[in-house]
Amino acid sequence: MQVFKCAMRIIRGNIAFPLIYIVGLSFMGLFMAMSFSFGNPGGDFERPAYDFAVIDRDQSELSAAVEDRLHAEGNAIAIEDNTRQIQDAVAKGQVDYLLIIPEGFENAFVEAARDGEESPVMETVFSFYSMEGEFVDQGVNGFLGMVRTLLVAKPDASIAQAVEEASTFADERADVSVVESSASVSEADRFVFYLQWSTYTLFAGITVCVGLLVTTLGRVDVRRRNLSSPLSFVAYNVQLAAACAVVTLVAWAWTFCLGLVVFSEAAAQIGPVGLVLCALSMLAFCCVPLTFGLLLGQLGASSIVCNAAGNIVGMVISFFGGAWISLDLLSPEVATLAHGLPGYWYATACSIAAHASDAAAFQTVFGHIGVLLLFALALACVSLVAGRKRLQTSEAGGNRAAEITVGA
Amino acid sequence: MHDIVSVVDLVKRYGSALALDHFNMEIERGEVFGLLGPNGSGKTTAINCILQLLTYDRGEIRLFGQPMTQTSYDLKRRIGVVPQNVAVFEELTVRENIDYFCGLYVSDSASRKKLVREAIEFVGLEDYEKAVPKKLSGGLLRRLNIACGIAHKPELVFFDEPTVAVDPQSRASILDGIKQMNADGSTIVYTSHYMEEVEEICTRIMIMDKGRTLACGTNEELKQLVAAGEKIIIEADVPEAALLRIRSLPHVLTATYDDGSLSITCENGEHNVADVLDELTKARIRPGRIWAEPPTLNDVFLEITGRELRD
Repeated sequence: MQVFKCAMRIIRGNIAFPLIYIVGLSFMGLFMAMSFSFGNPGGDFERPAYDFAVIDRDQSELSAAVEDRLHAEGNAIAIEDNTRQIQDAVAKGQVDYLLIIPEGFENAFVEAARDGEESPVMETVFSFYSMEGEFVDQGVNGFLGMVRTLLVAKPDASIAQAVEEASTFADERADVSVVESSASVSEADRFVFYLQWSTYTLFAGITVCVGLLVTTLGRVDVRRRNLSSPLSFVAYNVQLAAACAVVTLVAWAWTFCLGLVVFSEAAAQIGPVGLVLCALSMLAFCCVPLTFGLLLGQLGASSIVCNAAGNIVGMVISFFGGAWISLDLLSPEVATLAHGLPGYWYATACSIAAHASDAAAFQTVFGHIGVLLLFALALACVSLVAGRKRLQTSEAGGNRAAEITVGA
Repeated sequence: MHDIVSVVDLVKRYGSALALDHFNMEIERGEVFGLLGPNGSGKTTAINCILQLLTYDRGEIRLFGQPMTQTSYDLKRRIGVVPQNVAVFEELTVRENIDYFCGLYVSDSASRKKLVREAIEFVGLEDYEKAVPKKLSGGLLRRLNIACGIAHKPELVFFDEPTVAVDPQSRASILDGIKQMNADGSTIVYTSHYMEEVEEICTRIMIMDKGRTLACGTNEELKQLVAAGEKIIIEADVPEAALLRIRSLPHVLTATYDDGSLSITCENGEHNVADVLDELTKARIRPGRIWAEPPTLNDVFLEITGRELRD
């Protein structure tokens, strides 16, 4: 058991990795799942307030009307008409919406309307802190559009008449009220969200720990020393494989049990069969980072490389699994692409398992678990081939070392 | 006496390169056997073949009188290996590292505990038992590397250049340790390209180059192979006539005079210095400093190959 004990000591020596990736990130997943919500409380609708500034260089009836419309719902911020003040207002986020009406705007606007040409444009700046400026600008353009329509429709009407009539129309608003959403999030939904979010936790954590183990124990000099000893190849590989399996099982058990403890009501909602299927799905998914870590280790990846690969690939798999953004909100191409990654199959399996009630659904989950195991098997084969190729290089220790396949 | 290591006609190729060319070696129990050769001469390849870390194309290797194979675990149990590079775990403490490697040979934890303690004492790492390797200096790391290889008290220990990149103090300590191990009954195979070390500790030396054995014998036997037995250097004002008379002395091979320094190479002999001094006295030359250098293994290597050991 020397190799196994040594492997556990190596994990102990790098305890920060499991603590950060498996413990820390699983708590993050918990908090995210707890704040996960679809519902609306209902009540009166309140229009959001915004801060605006108008630099009126036209001083016309039209420009005054535009400013009046903004005053009706926004808070005016006084800004002098000089470059420095305007830049400061924008850069420091003092206003959500800044409008500069150029000199001669009204005349150009009326002429364009009468001649059927494009209306002149005003200079606008939106705050990058919020989306309000964008909506306010749509309101201003809507108002100007009404004025233009009236000028075209009533060629004899003055600009003052058109502005007044447009203002009357613009004041008419639909009644808005917020209806309480019937959709509510159950504990089971939160639990499933947690399981899906754990894609990243498990992938990064297991990849880093297993990769580190295999790399450290597979270092050329250490391996040669091992090979010189009476320790058989089989005993060495079995112990190393056992150590990697223990790391994976601990990560799986911790992540699943933590979710179950925190979302305890989910167990009753999902039922024992669903829970077992969720647990099996997660365990099958854990085999993917296990073999990916093995691949990194076989390639002799350093701790930094293991961390980078575990995080980046973990994020990609999580994203394509719909752990962060529902795949329903993404384009069909992305959803199709997701089928080529294990995160999708795991997330879908968890979702089906948690809400399944018939044998067909259970069969689907088992199918997904099978796909996950195939991903793991494929990675395991690649890692064994890669490891063998690497060990044949002179750098890795010559031809005898090539006959040893660590972790096989 | 039974050979503890017997290598016969060993051939090892790396592609088209011939690393070991019909290499032969026999080591008897209790020896400190030195493998001396320049970098790339095949020393480490020979050791790795003996340990079955490398396959070989031809030849026979026997340890303790039995054929050595990859699965000769009983033989491997009697061997210790101290590799050229420090091969320890960064995450484990000094004690844990020694315990791990010792545990590959000794499964009984009580016996192992004692052996680990003795190994720590042997290499003088008592104050660093709980330190991790990255906290150790280069010399202490080398000592740890040795402790990991010898903790199980092997009968045969292979030291592959254990003093590379080690400060003189640690080097002396390592060499003393090896001598002590030999005195305690271990047979040592020591590879190095430092001839001074090999001369100091080895009872028998094999000089090899390009995968071949060039010469093998005791330090004295090897030096007998060199025609130039001794180099004498004398600081004095030596006129041309006196230089000619010195050159004509029976044991003198060459004599050169340059910038107040007379350099003479002689054949092996007991009175070389006295004969030269007699000649100087006859010529009424009063010498300054005089020193004589015996031949070195580098001279042996030079004699055999025509180039320096450290070329």
